[in-house]
Amino acid sequence: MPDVLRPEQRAPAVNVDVYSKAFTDRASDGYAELRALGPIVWNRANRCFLITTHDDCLAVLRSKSFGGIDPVDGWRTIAERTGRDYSCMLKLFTFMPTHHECHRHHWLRRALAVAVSPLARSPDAIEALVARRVDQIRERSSFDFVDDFSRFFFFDIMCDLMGLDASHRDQIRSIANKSWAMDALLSVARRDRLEAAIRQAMPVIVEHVEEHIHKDGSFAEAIYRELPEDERSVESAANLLLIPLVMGNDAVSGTLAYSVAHLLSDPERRRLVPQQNWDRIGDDALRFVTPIHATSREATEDTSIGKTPIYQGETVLVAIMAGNHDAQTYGEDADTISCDAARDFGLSFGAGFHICVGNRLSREIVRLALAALSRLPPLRLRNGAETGIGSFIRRMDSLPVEFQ
Amino acid sequence: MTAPTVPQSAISETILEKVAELAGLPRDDIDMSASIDTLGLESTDVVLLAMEIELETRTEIEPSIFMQFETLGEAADRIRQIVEAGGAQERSASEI
Repeated sequence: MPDVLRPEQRAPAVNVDVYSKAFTDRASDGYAELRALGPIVWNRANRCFLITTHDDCLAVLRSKSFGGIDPVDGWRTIAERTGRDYSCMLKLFTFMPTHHECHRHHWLRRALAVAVSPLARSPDAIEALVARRVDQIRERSSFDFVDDFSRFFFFDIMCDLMGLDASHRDQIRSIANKSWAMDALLSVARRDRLEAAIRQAMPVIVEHVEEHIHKDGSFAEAIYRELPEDERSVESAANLLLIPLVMGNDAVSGTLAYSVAHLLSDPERRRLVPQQNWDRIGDDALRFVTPIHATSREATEDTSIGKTPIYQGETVLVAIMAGNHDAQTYGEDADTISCDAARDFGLSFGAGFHICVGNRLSREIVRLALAALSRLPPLRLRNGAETGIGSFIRRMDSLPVEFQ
Repeated sequence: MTAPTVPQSAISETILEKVAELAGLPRDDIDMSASIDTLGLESTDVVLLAMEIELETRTEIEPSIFMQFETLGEAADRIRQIVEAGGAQERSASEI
């Protein structure tokens, strides 16, 4: 039987916490430096192998030798050891398709996909909602792009499309910026706040589902109808309906804010991708920003990535941003946004079995938002941009801008 | 509001005691030159360690601090800076 090799014997070793703010604030450069060490490195700080090339990232995401990692165990352990009640979050996790394999994954994805699909095919409805948001900033000389435009952009559009009225919406708004729930190193205090936010939101969503499950064509009705008979309940539909509200908003907000910050920050970029052309860059903006810059997988069997053996149970971190900025795949200007129509959204929605079920809707929303911004008077940055917390999804907290 | 003042020794002792408990080791077997990595702690252990420090310092501490430094001592130094600065660290004003 061959000797088991230590990680450091199989790949170059580094000690870089890719989830730290220091890293995510310069993630593209950071991943380029890691890629220069090799297609796969052993990262001691995150206790995992880090995959840095596009092709290897894609292969791992598609491979059945790697499965998703469920954060439920961490939450359950902390609940047991501290005596806390995280029942709402533990329940919600059971409805996240990305954390399951086989049959449960299949019907969770199907229910969400059937409900989301008509929304993605409603550009007129989305465009009208985008126009309302743009009108709120049009008359101002200066504003904060995050606070006044992108922070709850996806959340508000989803609530409108779902038919969630304003009073209900404001009661649950706090869940929209809680995507950091996936972080394995989430503090107990944050877990407490997240549990409280979900606990507050759930009765509101349940009430909404009860009101809408008999309305043909409604989002809630679609989810409820698609649930397997033995899973079909108002509570199950409510949990599933919460998923896009919790997980989608930060990613879209981060995409829009980081894109605008990037495009306005450099004169040469402003020349190459002028604001009036932003209607053409939606997918490339998603590729460039890569709001979820890395995702974990666990080896379900002894396997390999290229020539590097990976043993069952070991964790690999698919550095999605490294893949999206890989010059071998996207050219020398892979680390910027281009109007090149040949570029797509890359790995930003994952790939394979767990590709994001909301990808078409998110792409449409991002495209229409950038298109609406392209028709505004020229914007420029002001001082004071701030990146946000959240190791899992890249966010901005503030982006002051003004009309020229 | 005055930032809490907690002696460095109190922070260090809390870290050592809790790490020993989480790692299942005698307290005397661990000193501040040890690292989270070599002690075999899981991410949930690190989260619980941070919680203990929060209770001791009355300051919210991000568990990721323990992954950013080579040794417990370096992490403790950073925690002391955070405590003395009134808890300012990678938190976002946007968090509702």
